[in-house]
This record gives sequence, C-alpha cells and structure tokens, in this order.
Amino acid sequence: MRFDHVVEGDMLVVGSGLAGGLAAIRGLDAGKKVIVATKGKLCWSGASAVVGGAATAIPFPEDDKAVWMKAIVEVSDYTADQEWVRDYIENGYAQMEKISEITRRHGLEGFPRDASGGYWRFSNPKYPVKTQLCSPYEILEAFEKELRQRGAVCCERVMITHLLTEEGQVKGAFGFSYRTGESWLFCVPVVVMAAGGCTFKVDTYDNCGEPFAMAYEAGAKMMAFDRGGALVRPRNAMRAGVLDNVPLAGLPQWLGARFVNAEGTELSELMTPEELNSGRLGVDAAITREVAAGRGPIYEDCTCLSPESKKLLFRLKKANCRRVQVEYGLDPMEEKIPMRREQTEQTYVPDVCNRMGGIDIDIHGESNIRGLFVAGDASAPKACAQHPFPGVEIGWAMFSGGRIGGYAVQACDRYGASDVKLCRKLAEPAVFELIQALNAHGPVTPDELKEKVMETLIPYNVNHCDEEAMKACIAKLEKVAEEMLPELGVRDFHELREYVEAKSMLWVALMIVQSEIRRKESRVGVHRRDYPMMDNVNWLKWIGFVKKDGRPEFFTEDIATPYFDVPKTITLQTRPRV
Amino acid sequence: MAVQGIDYEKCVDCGKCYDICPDDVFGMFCGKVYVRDPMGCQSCALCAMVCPSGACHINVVRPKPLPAGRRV
Repeated sequence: MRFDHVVEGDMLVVGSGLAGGLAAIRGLDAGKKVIVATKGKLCWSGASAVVGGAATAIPFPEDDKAVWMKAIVEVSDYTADQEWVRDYIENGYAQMEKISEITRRHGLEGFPRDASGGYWRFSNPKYPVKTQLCSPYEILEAFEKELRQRGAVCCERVMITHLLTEEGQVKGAFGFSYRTGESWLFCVPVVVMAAGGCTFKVDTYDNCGEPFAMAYEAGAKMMAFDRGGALVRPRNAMRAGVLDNVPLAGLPQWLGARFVNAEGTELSELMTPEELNSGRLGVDAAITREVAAGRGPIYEDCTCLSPESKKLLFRLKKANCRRVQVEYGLDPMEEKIPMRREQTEQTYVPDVCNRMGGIDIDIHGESNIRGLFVAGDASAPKACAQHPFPGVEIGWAMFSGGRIGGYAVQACDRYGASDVKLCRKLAEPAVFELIQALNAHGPVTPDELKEKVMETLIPYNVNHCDEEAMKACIAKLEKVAEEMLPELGVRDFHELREYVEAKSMLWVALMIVQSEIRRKESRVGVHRRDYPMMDNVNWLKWIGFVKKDGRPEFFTEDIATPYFDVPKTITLQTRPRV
Repeated sequence: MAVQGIDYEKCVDCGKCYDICPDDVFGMFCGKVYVRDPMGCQSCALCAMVCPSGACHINVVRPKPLPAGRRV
C-alpha cells in the first residue's frame, strides 16, 4: 500500500483551536517534534472559528475558590468531576497567563485590559462568579504564528479518520487531505485529540463527532453522552443569538449596546418581566411583537457606546462587524442597523447541543487507550462544560489544552517512538474503509444524511421526553441508518469528508439517546416526563459505554464528591432547562 | 443558503476566503474562487473578515429544515 505522506514525530495534535493550539505549543516548549493535523486552516477551524461569545470564565487567584467550586458543581447538577474542577480553579489562571504571554509576543492582546490595567472582568447577574473578556481571533492568530515560526509540522485541510492502536496503545493515526485526496500516515506514540465535539444545531455543520467515533472504534471509554442539552432557538437566526448582525446578546449588551424600535424606545423598557428573564427568546418575542404592532423595524444600536467600548467591540467581533459593513454599507459602531423584517418572523425549533459528552479521561488527561490524550470539547468535560455559565467551555478548552498538553509531553518520553512498518500495517483496514466509501455512487448526499439525523434526533432529544419517545427515536435512527447508508454517494474527497462527518453524527445521535434512556431520572440535559425528579440518592452517576464484541456496552460510574457535598435528596431539577 | 456569492466586480482573486474557510465552502478554478458548498457554511464570517475588497456576501438567515420534516 502506498501512502502519499508518512510523517514520524513525538506527538500528533488533532485539531488546532484553542485547546489543540495550546497543547501543541506545550509540546514545542518541551522540544518535541509536534505534528498538528487540522480539518480547516491552521488555528482557524472548527468551533474556535465560530466562537460566538468573547467571554471566558477562568477563576483568578484572588477569587474565593469555594464559590467557584459550588458554582460549577451546582450548575452541572453535581455531575462535574470535582478533582478536575479543583484543578481548573487552581491552575486555570496560569494557562490564561501563558496565552497572554504568547499573544503579547506577537504584538496582540489575548485578554483585553481595562483602564486600570487589570483584565476586563464582568460580574454575571445569574451566577456568583465573574467572567472576563477574551479576544479569540487574536489568540488564534498568535497560535498560528507561534506554531509556524517554531517549526511544528502543520498539516492543514487534513481530516484524521482513524486512530491506529495495538494492544491498547496508540501507534499513530491515518487521515486524508480533502482538497487533494492525498493520504497521510502519522507514526506517533502520543495523540492529543482536540478536534471538538458533536453539535446538532440547525445551523452548524462542522463539529460532527468524528473524534468520538474514531476513539470509540479504537476502544476508548466514552462518557456522559446523556448530558446533551436542548435549547429552543429561533430557526432563522444567526447562531448564538436572535440577532442578525453584531449579536448583541452577551458582550455588546454588557458594554451597553441596545435594541431600539422605530420610535427610538429601548426594547428592554417594553419587555415583560418574563421576557426579560428568558434571554434571547425573550428578546426575540419582544421584537416580533413590536414589529407586529407597527413599531418596526427594530434597530441594533451600538452608537451609544463609549469610544473605548466601540473599539473593543470591533476588535472582538471583527468578523461580524466586517460583514455588516459589506452587507449593509453601514458602520455598525456609528449607525443603527435595521433588522430585516423577515428575520423577525420566527419559527421556534428545538436545537440540540452536545458538547457535553465525550471521551473519558483520567486526572492526567489520558484515556483508557495509552497515549491517547483528550482536550477541549472532545473530552467528556468532566470539569465543567455542561450547561455552563458563559465562558466555561472556552475556559475549559484553554485550560485543558495547556494542562493536558503538558501531560502528553511527559508521555512522549514514557512511550518511545512508534514503528513505521507497524503503522503501515495498522492503516490498511482504514484505507479499505475509505475506498469502499469512495466506491459508493448512490443518490443520497452526506449533507442529506446530516439533515435527516438532525430532523430525527432533535424533536426527541428535548425536554419532556419519556421512554416510549426515546425508543421510537432509536428505531427511527436505526431506520435512517438502514435506508440511507447504503444509498449514499461520495463523488469527491470533499464529500468523503462529509461522509465521515455524517456517519459519525448518526452514530453519536444513537449513542445520545441510548445513554439518555438509561438515566431513570432527570439531570442536566435529560428531563424525563416519566422520571421528573433529580435523584441524588440513586443516580449520582455518570453513564458511559465502551465497544465490546462490536457493540457498545453501557455502564454507570459513581460520581465522587471529595470537595463539595451533594445534598442526598430527591427533588425537582432546580434550574430551567431551556 | 448562507454564502450568497462572490461579487466578481469587487473580487481581486487573492484567494484569502478559500484559504481561511473552516468549512471548505469555496473552491478554486483557474485562480478564481467559486462557491462549491453553500450549505456547509456556518456564517462565521471569517471570509468577510479577511476579504480585502468586500466581495464575500454572507446571509445569516439559515433556512434549514425543521425537525421531523415539517416545512413552513
């Protein structure tokens, strides 16, 4: 078998967002030969490229650690891994400082500072902890420069499809370039999987759970797929908000931006208390009502901000601001932007977000496969990131990238080099699998399969589902697999990428519902009509699965509570689910 | 569709959108960019950010299918 590229190294980082980028830099710091394989452009791919907010919740040294522990553990309905939470609270700030230093080296500022020179932090009205501003584009730009200048082997537009393992030990990975069709064989003893999670959103097609599928096939223990949450969002809205343009929810709102109607009245003055409490949905309901009453259009108004805030907002939301300039010919900071009429007519659809489950890791970030480390959304984010308060997911990505990257470096020395001949042999079945896909010439496109999976999963994986509904969902997903998979057609390497994505999405969807059906209570993403109580007495457990004899074998694992006592109660869930 | 298209009167053929797009939405032919997979776009607007001439047009309205095949 002939491979176009065979690359040997110490450490392969899959993905190059906030987590992967920092993990790779840790490898370079230690003098390792680091290879970065990424599906998009280096450092601009996946979830990081569309980071909606510009806030991150990282504990500062002067903060009360007990308050942070309580906030994170409680917001996760007690499912957070308290060991990891403690580590996050104690060492998160150091990783943030490290990123600050990297961005500074390239003349950029990863975390904006206020007039007094301290990091710009906000109190969060809903949670007792503070969030601080970060500038994702500047961090990504600095990561990209750092990796290129310091000689990391950067493989862009390469999709990793298979992990190569032998006897529970990583030997390498296999992938292909979806623009050229070239095959890539990586011979490495350590893989840091930082390729994001799986997101089922009506508008995001990029994070499709391939890291989960390939790790599962290699024998990794998967955890907490039942924590997928459901959100209800307007259908015709930009991701991350009600809004058309510079999404006012979040950062601009904190800075003082507002919505106004045609008469110049501020929308918040016209909203009912229920709407004010309902976040983006409430804003959207108010917009719809105002337009129906003839007081439209509604404007997004950043003109009232101070010059400093305008400058900052433009920096942090550069892509959106630029888009407004192109599409409207308006300066978003100096002119009010009218929302288009059709975008205020919304149909509300459930939207599922599953960045909560993932590959299980120990306290050193290693999975049950030796040499497979997992960071960012791909890890079962035991520390925090399920239904997080704003910024914890970004904080976890940065923290886990740096921390787990450090552990991976140590493992490079422990495991020694990988054997090229062995890797070639291990990659053969992977090649045949992709060849088989390329030989498929059916009428169904991978995009159609993705849509079908979302159509099938989303209505069920929302609040108030019960055993019957979940069983029906499983049956439907199995039918989709049975009917659509043999009908797929893959016409080029771009579609081969989509084929791998679609297949893993289908698999993740099945695993979500199969995990949820096993939780006989309501907790985080699962709110069951037939088991409405949150049962801390019997169900303070994680649900996981591992591949055995070609099928997933499910298990539960008790959640340890060394630092925060969980009340032994059986109560209704305390936090709203949508 | 999210990417509406390229304004060829403004496009300067720099290929920056093709280079940065996380979703492989653009293709290249004879040094010219074209939109190969508009449905793959997730409106991150990075192409608009890097485009030196304002030639990339993105729509943030997402006409995706409703669950269970319902259409409006």
